[in-house]
Amino acid sequence: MTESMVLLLERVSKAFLAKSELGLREAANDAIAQAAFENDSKKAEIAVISYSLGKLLSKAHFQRSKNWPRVADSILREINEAVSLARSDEFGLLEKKLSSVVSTVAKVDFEFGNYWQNLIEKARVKQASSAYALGLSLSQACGLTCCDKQALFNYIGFTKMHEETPVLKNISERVDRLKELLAEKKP
Amino acid sequence: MTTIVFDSSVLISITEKCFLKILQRLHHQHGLRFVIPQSVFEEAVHHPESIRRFELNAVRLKQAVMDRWIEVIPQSDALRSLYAEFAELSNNSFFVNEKPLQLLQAGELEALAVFKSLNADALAIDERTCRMMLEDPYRLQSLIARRMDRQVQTDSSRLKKLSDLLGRPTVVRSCDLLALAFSEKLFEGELSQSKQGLEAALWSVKFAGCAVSGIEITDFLRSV
Repeated sequence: MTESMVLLLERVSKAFLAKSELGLREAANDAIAQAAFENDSKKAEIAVISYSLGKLLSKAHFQRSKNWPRVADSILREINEAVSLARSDEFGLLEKKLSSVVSTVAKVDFEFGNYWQNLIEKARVKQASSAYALGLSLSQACGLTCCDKQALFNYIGFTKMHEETPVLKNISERVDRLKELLAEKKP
Repeated sequence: MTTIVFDSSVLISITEKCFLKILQRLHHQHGLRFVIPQSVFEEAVHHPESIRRFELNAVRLKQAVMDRWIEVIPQSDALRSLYAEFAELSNNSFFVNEKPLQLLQAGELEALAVFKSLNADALAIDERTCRMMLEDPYRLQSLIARRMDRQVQTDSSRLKKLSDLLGRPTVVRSCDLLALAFSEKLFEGELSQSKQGLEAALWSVKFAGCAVSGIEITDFLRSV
């Protein structure tokens, strides 16, 4: 697990340094898939961080800010510290470090962002949606990513993932079954 | 009395789209008993009460509980024991690389425990994974394998135990409850009692997250 965690964090660090939105998106996808297989909340947090950093890079008004180079340096330093902690199996400290990166991104977003729903919340919804798409239940996907259930469910509604879900019983069959139940237990 | 146990996903779809009144009419019309586990109340009322975006839905649901047409089942030792049993079975039945996949969590597991303890008649679940695990776990296995692009193994003895414990539960979604309400003319006064009213209602719960496909809705509407 340590090695895969280090590899993920290194990919996030390299992609952020290279300003690669695609690299960050791909690292997020791999991190959430591993998190779902292993029920690993730290990897889910890495997915949230990687996705939100990609979003930060995509916003021109963030990049144009005179504070951006300082902010970017500070985020990169924290991610590299997380790499070191993962390498030395300091998982308690790693967890705190990941929370600190999340707080830094949230602060940047609060300062420069334009929406009530912050970037970290959006990243949690996106990663939880990926976990649900992989097969986890709604509660498990939310628990893994610390995502709000209602926010996730509303997001899922606008994706096409339920189009691929096999129809085990259709609406008519379920309604007929309900009617049978009601008839059986009629007072 | 017919008892239906709700998990939070159905409540989210129903309250999000303002269909609580229609659900209440179903309750009155048939003397249905609607119950939710304590954890679902926490998730659907307590937690969102403090989030401005979701506060309205929480307030609506809280009122339904205060008006006593939705009943909260408190935690108990018997429920905790059933919960642990369902957690052990459901989260050790699917494997990738010999590691068990943790598929379900508190929301769904408590709904299963309450369903079993009350010997209830139906489970109302809008999310896909728990419903498929109960209705056809091997189709769920194929779905996960395809989505994860990995081999997924199952422990058939655990799946059988799960099935034996629950029997073959009737599972319904918010769209099915709305279709039932429509067939009993319970839309009147709330929404147009017309095919268009039904169509709008079904698509709205789909867009609120209910696991139903567009094709399924279209096919159903053809038969109405």
